[in-house]
Amino acid sequence: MTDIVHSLSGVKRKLKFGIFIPRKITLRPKNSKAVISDLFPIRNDEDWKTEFELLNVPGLIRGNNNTIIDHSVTLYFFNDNGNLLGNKHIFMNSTGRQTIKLSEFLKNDLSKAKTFALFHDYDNNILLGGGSFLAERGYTGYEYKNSGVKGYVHGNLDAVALSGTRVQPLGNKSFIARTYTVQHQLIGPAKYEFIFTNPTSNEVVIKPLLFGIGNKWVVQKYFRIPSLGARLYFVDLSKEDTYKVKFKSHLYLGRPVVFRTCNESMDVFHG
Amino acid sequence: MFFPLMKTDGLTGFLDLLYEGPNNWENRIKKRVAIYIIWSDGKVWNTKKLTELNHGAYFRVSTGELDQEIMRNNLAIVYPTFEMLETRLSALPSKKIWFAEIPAWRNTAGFYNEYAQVSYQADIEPLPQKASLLTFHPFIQFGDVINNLLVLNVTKSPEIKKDSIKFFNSYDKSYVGEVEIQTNTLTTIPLDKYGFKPTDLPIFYSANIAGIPFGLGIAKSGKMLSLEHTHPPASLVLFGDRRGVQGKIKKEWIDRLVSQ
Repeated sequence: MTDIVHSLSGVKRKLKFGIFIPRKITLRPKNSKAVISDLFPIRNDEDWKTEFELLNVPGLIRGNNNTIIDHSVTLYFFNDNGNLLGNKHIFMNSTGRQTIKLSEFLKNDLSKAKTFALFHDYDNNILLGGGSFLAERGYTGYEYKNSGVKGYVHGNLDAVALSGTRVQPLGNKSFIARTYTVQHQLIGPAKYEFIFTNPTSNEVVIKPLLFGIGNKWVVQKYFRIPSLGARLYFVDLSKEDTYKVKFKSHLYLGRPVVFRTCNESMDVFHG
Repeated sequence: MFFPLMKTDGLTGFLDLLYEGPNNWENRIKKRVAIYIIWSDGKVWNTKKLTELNHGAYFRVSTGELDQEIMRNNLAIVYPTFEMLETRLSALPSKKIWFAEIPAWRNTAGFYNEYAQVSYQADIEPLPQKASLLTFHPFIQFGDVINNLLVLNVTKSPEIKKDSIKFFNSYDKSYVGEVEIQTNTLTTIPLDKYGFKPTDLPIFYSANIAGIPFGLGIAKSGKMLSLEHTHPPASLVLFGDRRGVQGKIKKEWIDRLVSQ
């Protein structure tokens, strides 16, 4: 009898892993010359500024970022529904680091941009050998209430590829919903803001669950994110409040970028 | 899997532990666990039980509440286990209790002062006894900010070895300086005296000690903190033989920097 129970539990475990183990969190770009970028959240209002630390990634890979040939990149800007608003081409100065102030671009057609992708002008993936692709997963700096100090966070999802002029979503969805628990106790007084981007080619639904008052998980109102779109979910905590939060969705890796603000200071980290 | 508690001058280090796995399909353990803090004295790993946690529970440990001896290397590591640990260990335990891969099981580690708190999602596996570190550091901020480099190293052995980390300017490959770092230690290195400019991308290179490098920015007013770690060169590519690409990138840079 014990053997039968063990055998059944082994089958159950294998079945569970067969269903859940994501073999392709990120889809491989179809074009071998494609370059990859994260989809970086933009915060741009009276409280927030966003900057990006542009580095000569092809040069860093080559072992020499001091080149006689100008290096250029193209930024693609999307609104919260994932619609492409436009792009900006930038030539990198002859420097190791170039800080891009996003607010300088976010005017007119780009004023409603909520995310951006940054693609390096590079078509030599073949030089990397072994089927690798150049990827921009770099560092976005967020400044809160003109504090003069940026909080940095690196790319969280390998979201999109540029193949020619086409932006291809690389995120994968699973048939069965998964839960991601933010590994951080929410502690008040503070406001927590969770920014999700959708790196898949379809709409996704995200269901937040909060554990706090009542000592049980309580399902919150769900929200939908169109392909390449972004949504902000927030929890406002008073002093003495503590919560845990998790998010259920069909995303393989439904991790948000987390902003914690308290008084005049902020903390930002990826889930 | 271990979780770091870090100490640096002027700030209180903290580690927030949350006994919740990151996903609903890997390692769904629910047994009560003992939480140990572990630190090296150079000869052995010393251990002390901090608490026990039930599934779903939360616990904060901070440097302000611990004996100075525990934080002698500005670093202690926290380890959840089902077993009782000896008070002195010759090597770090290898059994992983809080462990997941997609994503990794992490906790929140960082610093705070009276005005602000900063953190990152932390986990650490012991690094090889002898390995190199090469990283690009775009985190230096300008204005009323104090910039530090933190180098975190943990190895399986409690031995504390010293070596240097060298600073270069990536663009012209010029040597800027070097500082001593140690194994099983969090080393804080003030960066402002080196005169890096906003357009410089520093490279930090250590031939014999690997580590996790962080940029720690502190507003001179104390009212804002900034903390993020850099990534190994493998993060510049996706798919394929990323370790192989990383090896090539490191070799190219080390050849250029060291051959000067």
